[in-house]
Amino acid sequence: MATIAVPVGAQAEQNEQEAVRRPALSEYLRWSVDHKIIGVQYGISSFLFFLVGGAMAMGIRWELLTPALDLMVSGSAYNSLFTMHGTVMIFLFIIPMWAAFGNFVVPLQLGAKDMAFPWLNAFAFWLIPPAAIVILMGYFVTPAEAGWTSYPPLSTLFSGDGQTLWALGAHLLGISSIMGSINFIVTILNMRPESMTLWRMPLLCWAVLATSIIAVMATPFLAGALTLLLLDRVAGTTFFDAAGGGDVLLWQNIFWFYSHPAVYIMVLPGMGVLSEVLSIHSRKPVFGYRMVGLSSMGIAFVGFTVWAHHMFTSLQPELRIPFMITTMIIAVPTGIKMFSWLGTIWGGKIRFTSAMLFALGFLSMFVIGGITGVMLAALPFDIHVHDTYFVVSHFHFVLFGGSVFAIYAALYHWFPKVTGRMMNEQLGRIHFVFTYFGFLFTFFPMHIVGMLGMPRRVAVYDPSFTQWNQLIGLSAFVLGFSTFIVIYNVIRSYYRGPIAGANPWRALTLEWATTSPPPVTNFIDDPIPYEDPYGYGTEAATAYLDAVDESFRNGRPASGGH
Amino acid sequence: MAQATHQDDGHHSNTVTLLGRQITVEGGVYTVVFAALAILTVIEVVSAEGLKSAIHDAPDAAATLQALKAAILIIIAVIKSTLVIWFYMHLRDEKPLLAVVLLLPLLIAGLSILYLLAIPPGGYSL
Amino acid sequence: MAQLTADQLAAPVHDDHGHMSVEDSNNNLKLGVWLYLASEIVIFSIMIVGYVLLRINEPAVVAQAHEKLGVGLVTANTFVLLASSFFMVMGLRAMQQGNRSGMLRWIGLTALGGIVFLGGQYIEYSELSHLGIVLGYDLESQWSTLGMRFYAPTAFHGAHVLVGVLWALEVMRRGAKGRYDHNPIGIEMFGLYWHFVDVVWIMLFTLIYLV
Repeated sequence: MATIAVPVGAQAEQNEQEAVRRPALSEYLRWSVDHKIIGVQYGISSFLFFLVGGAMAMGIRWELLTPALDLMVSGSAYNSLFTMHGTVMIFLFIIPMWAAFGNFVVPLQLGAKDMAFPWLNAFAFWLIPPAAIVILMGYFVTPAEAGWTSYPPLSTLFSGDGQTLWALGAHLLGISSIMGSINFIVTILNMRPESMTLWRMPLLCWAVLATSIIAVMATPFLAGALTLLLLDRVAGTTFFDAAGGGDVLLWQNIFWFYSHPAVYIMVLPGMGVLSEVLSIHSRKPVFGYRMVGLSSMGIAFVGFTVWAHHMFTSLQPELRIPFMITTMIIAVPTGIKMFSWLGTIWGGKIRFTSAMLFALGFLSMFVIGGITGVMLAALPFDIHVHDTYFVVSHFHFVLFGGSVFAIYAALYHWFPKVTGRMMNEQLGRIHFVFTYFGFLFTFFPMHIVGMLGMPRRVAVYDPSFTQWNQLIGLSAFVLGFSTFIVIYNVIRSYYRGPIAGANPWRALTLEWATTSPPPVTNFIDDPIPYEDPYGYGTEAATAYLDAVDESFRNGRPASGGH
Repeated sequence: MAQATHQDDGHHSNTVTLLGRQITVEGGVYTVVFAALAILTVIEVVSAEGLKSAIHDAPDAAATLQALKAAILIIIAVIKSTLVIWFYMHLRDEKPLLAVVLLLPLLIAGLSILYLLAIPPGGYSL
Repeated sequence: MAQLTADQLAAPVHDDHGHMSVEDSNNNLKLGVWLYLASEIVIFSIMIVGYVLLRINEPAVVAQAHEKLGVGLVTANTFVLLASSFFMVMGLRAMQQGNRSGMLRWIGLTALGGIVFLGGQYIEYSELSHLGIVLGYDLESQWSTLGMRFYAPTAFHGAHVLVGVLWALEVMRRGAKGRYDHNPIGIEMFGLYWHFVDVVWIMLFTLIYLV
């Protein structure tokens, strides 16, 4: 390239102090329409829910250390504990956590000044605290104990007011998720710079686009089902009660119309994060960029055709094989991504940063979750292990080994942009080791106890599983402990971390072409994206990155002219 | 169907060409569409009532007539909805993206509903 | 080494700094409303499917209810809602032609149509409850499977009409202050919602009352 367009425009006019000013902590506690503030608000609040849900997981493992009831007073108390654990982790932690990274990063990557509808964005976030209060309050009345899936008649005839509150809270969260997703779709489709076609868009944006399409199309199924459930609970209808002319399976169908696509809501953004992190930290272009973008869309659409594999044991027998086939088909776009990631790091100049470690952790763990997913899709095997710990292990491998590892990778990767400070890499590595091995030894043995026949959702189990459960329990405590390392690291780095500068990873996407943290309007002038968001390893890219560094020396926009 | 005469002034012209004839009416194409909606609704109600008594009179052919009735009524309802979406919601002037936004949920909901409708009346028998 | 070009350094900060052009903003808003309506399509289909299942599985119950209720009232109601949809689009047209008072008249008629529709629905619901068709399950009633499947979609639609009436009044309040004189996007957004509610009714009317 003859001339390098530097995306910084009139940054030079900017006042030094303003550029690196961090928002006061009190700004995060107030209503704000700035997508960066909202992103952090999402992030902090969902991390708090992660701690709540994690504490519940510790309670579950504590209870399961011995085959008898000890921590919990009854089986019902245990039921409500894992119900809240699942609900909090899925609805209040993972889904809003991706809204956090989406909110902070997507407009920056698009070179936009904010989301398309800033007010709606803030409103969507502020629905979460009341929803969380409603759901958590339910735990202290007569708690919901039908699992996060809330199948009737458990959720209609055998649950107390906590179930009603659960449904109300989930309804609010669904509305929040729909509004947030509409915002993402409009932002991504309409607010790109002119030179950034869809095919030059960073892959996180592709992933968030696919996720948001799923959320807008699938979440209303949940809203409809919850409306009917609430009517059953409070208005005396019998939509889900066979004794009153209703249909119990209707709930399962509608719920999984939503919740299977929602599984991809929880993991697709993580896959986008992985493409970013692996490419940047191994200094190589993403392998098969177009296919990765398209496979996100492919997963989104195939994801709507597989729901009934959650119901193999309650399904019309003729329909089992078709759903087995669609379920196996969805492994194809996922496999495309796996091979793209491997191809990306192959022969790259890998830097083992904490972000990279967690991304590699995702790669190794998610592939196990993916393979057990295909195993579960196989009908004969599924009938054998259904409702055992094998299933629990499978979905923790994709949700923890997948989503949570990707969340940590994203945290280490974008923390410098959010706060202007680097995280401590040493602590990051320690955190990774504890998390990785804690995770592996918590969830891998569950495959084995599952195949040996230990059912899920029970507090009292056969004494022959005791030793396995003690191994799982102790590893789970290690995993729980590892969370405190990252909390310490975040707090310490926020105050004491080294100044990050605009582009500590020397990345080509636009969020790194402004100060860290970015000014209120993100970019002073309209930024010009580099022609290829992942074109690492060329002289032109190096020149571009040098120019960005030059413009933001010491993390501040250059104060004089050039 | 109704076509506005002036290319860029479709919403505001009072003259529309309908089946080769020029019609001038306050409101232009919107009024013509409203008239069509009203007529279709009358046709719908009349045919529903007519077929209902036909079904009553001919119990032998009831199933066929019932299916015919459902098909006719649903087709008319879809035409009415399309008229509203195409002209009143201005889909005809919008980018194709909005048509995709409309068709995608219809496709997904349609698939799901077809599946639910396939559940046998007495539930599954294993 | 790359340098900032002179043009870029000299380029003035954009006038619309931090703001989008009116056209871009309108496009965003329209796409946003369409996406919202897309999600509504899914909710309504879940609401309707219960009724359709009943219609297929227990045609006798539905036929009896049709017999008792007749189609007079609901047809009149349908005309009112169709007309209000027409008033709506005429209101938008008036504002696009710069006729603010015309817009206020048409939107006023739209809101009136919505109110009349709700009144009709109230009358219909009271007739039905006299017949013993109620929302909750009643073992004694021959209508026990019909009530919930009829009321859930129609009342959900009625709630949307109510929201639409309130929105229409708000549009009138803002319109009277001249808010839409230069950019009627607010009216257009409300219009999209109102026409969508009308389309839902077209389908409900056919599927629930006629088929």
